[in-house]
Amino acid sequence: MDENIIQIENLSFGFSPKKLILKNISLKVPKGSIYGFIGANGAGKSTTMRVILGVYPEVNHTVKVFGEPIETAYPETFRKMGTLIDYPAFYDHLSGLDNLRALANLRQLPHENMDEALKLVGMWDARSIKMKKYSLGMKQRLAIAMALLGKPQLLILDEPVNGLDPNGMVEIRQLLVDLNQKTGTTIFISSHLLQELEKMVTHLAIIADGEVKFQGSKEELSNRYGFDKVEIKLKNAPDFLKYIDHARLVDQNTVEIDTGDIDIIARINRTLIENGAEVYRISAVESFEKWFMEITKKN
Amino acid sequence: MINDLRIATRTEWIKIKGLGLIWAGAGLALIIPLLKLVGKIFGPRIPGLQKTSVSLFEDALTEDTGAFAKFFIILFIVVATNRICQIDHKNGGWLLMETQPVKKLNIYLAKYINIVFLTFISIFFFFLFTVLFTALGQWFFGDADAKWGLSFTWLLQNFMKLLVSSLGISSFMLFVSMVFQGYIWPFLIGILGLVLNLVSFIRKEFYPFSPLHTEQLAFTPDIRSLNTFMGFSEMLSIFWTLSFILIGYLWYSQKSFKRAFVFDTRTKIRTVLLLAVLGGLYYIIQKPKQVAPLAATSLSGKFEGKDLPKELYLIEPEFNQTLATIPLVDGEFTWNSSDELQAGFYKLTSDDRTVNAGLFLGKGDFYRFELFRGPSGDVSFIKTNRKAEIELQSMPFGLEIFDFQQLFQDRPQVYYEEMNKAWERSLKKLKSYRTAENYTAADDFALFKRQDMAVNFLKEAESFHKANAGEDKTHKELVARLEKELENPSELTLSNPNYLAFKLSSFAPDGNRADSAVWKGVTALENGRMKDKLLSYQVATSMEKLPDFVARQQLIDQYSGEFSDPRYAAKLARVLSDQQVSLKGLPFPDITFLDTENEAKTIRDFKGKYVVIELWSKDSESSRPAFKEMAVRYNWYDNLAFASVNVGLDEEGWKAYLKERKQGKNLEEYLLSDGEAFVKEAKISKLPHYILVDDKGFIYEFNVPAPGRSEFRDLLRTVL
Repeated sequence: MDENIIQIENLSFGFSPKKLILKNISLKVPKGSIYGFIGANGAGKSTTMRVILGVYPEVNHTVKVFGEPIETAYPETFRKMGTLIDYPAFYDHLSGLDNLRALANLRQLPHENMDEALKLVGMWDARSIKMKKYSLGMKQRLAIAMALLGKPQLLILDEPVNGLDPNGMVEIRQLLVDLNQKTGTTIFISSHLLQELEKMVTHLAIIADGEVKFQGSKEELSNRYGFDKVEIKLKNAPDFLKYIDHARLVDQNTVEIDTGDIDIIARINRTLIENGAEVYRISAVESFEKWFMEITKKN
Repeated sequence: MINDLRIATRTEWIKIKGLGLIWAGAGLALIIPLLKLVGKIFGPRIPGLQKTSVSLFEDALTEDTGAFAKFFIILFIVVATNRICQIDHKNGGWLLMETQPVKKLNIYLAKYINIVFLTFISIFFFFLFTVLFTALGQWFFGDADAKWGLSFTWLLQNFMKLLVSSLGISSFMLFVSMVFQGYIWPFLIGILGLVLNLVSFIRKEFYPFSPLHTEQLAFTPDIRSLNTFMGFSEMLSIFWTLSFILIGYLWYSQKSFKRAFVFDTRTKIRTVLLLAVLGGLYYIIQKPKQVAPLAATSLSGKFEGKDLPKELYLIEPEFNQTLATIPLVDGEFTWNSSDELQAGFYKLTSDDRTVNAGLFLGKGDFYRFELFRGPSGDVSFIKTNRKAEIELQSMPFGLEIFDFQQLFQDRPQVYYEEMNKAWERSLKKLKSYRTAENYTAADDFALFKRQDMAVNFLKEAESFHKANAGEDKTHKELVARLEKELENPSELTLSNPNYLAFKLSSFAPDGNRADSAVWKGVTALENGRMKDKLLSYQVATSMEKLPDFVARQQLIDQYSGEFSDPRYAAKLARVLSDQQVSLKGLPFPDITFLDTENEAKTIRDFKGKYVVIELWSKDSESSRPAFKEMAVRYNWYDNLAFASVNVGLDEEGWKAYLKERKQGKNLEEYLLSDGEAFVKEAKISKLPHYILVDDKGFIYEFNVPAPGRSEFRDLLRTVL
């Protein structure tokens, strides 16, 4: 995982020099990772992705894909990439198959690739229907199939599960995880649906107001911000602080400890009961989502 | 690069599947040929109508390509381009394409290539349908001896002209359709271009600045007359193609005018250079050209058809003498001369007919004829350096104001001011006039035309002044200005009958050329070229009004000693001989016409009226509206009648024709049963022919100018 497929160093971008959308962004997307790019709407996710794809001009040589500056990498490097930016792009007067055919022709791919991609996203049966008759979920699936054409080494997916029903979300998430695990495809994926990414990413970056607030592996995030926290509600909490290592008193009836380990939680509970504490409730108090809300709220 | 472009083009082709563009192209191509076939099936049959044809298919394509080129193909390009871009404007198509392994330049060019290919298909279908439906129509309803051949070179040239001229339109519309995301603006801009074409067509003006104008320029009814295989419209089209592909791609690569053209110093310099190069190219391409004369004067050509002449005669205009006898070998003829040749309106004739009556020829000019001889006349195509001169000969200037003289009778000053403006407009039009091949008239002809115009304006001003007496400053200023134009008449002007008649009129206080003051004035002139020309013209035209040969001969004898150049006296002898042959001044023959009520009429039935007779055949029907217009215009004169006489049709065909064209309503229509014999006997070389018969039944003018010309009205003025 040493090699970075995408590397951004101090990228600032805006349509006007006075009003920057992206401010000094640096990102490293390791090869083989599923890299979550998380931010609220308007945080700069899609803009970052468009700059990475060369759609928006970047003149300061701050972005590299596959180790090559994007000014010279494109369009050839697109052969190794599959993309889905924003709303799924397609030609609605064509069938799903013809949409794929246009792209397959451009990439000079054999027909089998189209069939494979269609089957992979569960759109084989609907392949001959014109896209204007597709539901939003079907369009999203087809857009993913289009991104998967040619078995790319890097997938850049901007909110790929938008419009999918819960089952569809699970299916696509599983599909991407499988793809990553079986073929080693690097996936750079954005979403504001944090619970979706929380469960699938190996790495992530948080963007808020055009600035990256965090980037690293999921473990690094956990270590750094310790978002596995347990809250214990009990009577006369200050009296029992001495029995729990590293406990923090929140209020008269609440203490907080940093752990996600169920054995440790069970041991603490047993100690408290043995020492006569009246425990009302033990619960996890911090989720990734809550932490994300906090980090983005500060700005 | 080429392979990448091929792949991108193929991809764009897949993308337009299901848009129905091929059907649309074929459908628009079908409209005209289908309507014509339907017209042939359900319309009236006109037996006996047969005009000289080069080829059945060539005639049909020549007749129909105009509407297709000026309207349908442009409309198709506007719609197709818009549609092709819309599929990418919707649903993020651009982003999808731009994140694929394909260069933006290839995306742009691929779209353009597909539009060009669709245009190719539409033009192909138009040609195919026209040929097919013409063949069908001919097979079932046409003449048995129609010419079925079709020249591949002609077809290719016509096809290529349309296709190449459409390249600029496609390029411009692609640029517009890319920049404007909605459907409406590109469509409106396309329609605006079509409207501009319509305006240019009506006003007979030239709009090279409109990229949508090139198709209109490309189409000219006589492709065979074009000097070069590919010409001005194609050059202009290629210029627009390059311009808009460059500008369009630069815009598309940045998706912003600011970033593409004025973002930083580098782009600003690039933009300035681009504009300078394109502006320079445009200036060079659209600048009207005058074809440089050759070292030797050259006439050549070939005849096709039956009963071809053995030789042709080139007649010089001043003394009507044969300048050259040109033999025909296997239908082809060539004449080259390095001799000095006074520029003028020469005549090319054969023994039995005039091949060309107004050949404007000077030293170094070339004419290459392609002539198709048929029983009802010749069809000729001419390649020459004098294209603009040919077109300008029949181009009226200033008439738009002359026609409204009556409206200004109580406001003479306003009329003179309007005439002044009309003069300015005419000068501007003359100066800017150019042919579809971008040729402009040479200086000698431009001066001739300018002085001819000045004569017409002066005549008009004087005539109005007479009817609306009273000295007026504006009138004097106008006359002074126009007379200044004629201070130094050119050699061509000195041979212009219009000028000579005007000059002679100026000797008489009331402008009456029969006045003795005219004779006195002209004979009092200093001996020389001017006197010779004026006197010979005065004698020749006065002879026409004398009743017999003896009186005419006496007139010649009276003045023949006045000429410095004896050739003028000899010329008058020839004129007299011609007048005798052409019946001029003699009683109109006692022939019988059939009217629409099946009643026989002779010229005696018109006694007490001057009668303008139009002799026409099916070949010359295109001039009939002008005659009809004159008949309507002079309707209120009780002492003038207009008679339109057909000389080619049989009774059934003539009636069917009148029924179909509904032209009998405002015009007295007649049929001359043995008309062709009459035409031959009277040595009328070309139809339509107009004759003015006086109120006593004598021929007043055997060769009346065409109704559209100012001389026509000048002539009528002398009798009304």
